[in-house]
Amino acid sequence: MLDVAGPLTGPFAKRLTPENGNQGATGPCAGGELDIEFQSRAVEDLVKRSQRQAPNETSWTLATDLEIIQC
Amino acid sequence: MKFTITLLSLSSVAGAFAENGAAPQPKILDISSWGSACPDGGLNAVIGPVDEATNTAPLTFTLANFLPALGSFGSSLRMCNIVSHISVADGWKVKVNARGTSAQGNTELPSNATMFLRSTYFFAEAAEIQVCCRHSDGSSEC
Repeated sequence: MLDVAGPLTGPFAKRLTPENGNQGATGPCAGGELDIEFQSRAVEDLVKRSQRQAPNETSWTLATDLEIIQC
Repeated sequence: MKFTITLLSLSSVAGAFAENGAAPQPKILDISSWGSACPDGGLNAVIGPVDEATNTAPLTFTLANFLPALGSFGSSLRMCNIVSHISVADGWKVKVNARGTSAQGNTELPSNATMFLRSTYFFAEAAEIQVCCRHSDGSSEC
């Protein structure tokens, strides 16, 4: 989970750190079904609305890692 | 004799594999997704090569429409739900997101706005499926 206050313009890169005590999700031996949800949300203070142009590039990359461990 | 040599070679390869603890390459066997952040054809998922020093492999997703662009409404929500099957060799398992998720993309956010990013991962080891069937005569069975 990551909250970022504006203003922000152009390329952005940050790490979403696991919440306290979260050591990652471990699957069963030989693998299994991994379910993932990615969510992004932007909320604007409606009292101070401003005109702006949304960027054309809407693609983002989200990267994590898989640790391979013996059963 | 030749057969014995082959067996010996195979066993020494297996022994070396176990001794140095080299982790096998995990694979994505199948994947499906839905949500505004990943419209049809808008998700790419790749597992990179295993780093033998750390026994980890990068898992990277590209979402075609993850940018939470503010429109006239004053708020925006993008979501992508993914169901995948990760496979790894017998005797091994994988742990995902032990060190967090890096997010990278373009943004355009005014000073009076806040952006929230969230990622959630879990393995579904047991699923319960319930089905209801409604017949044309109005009866149903669940």
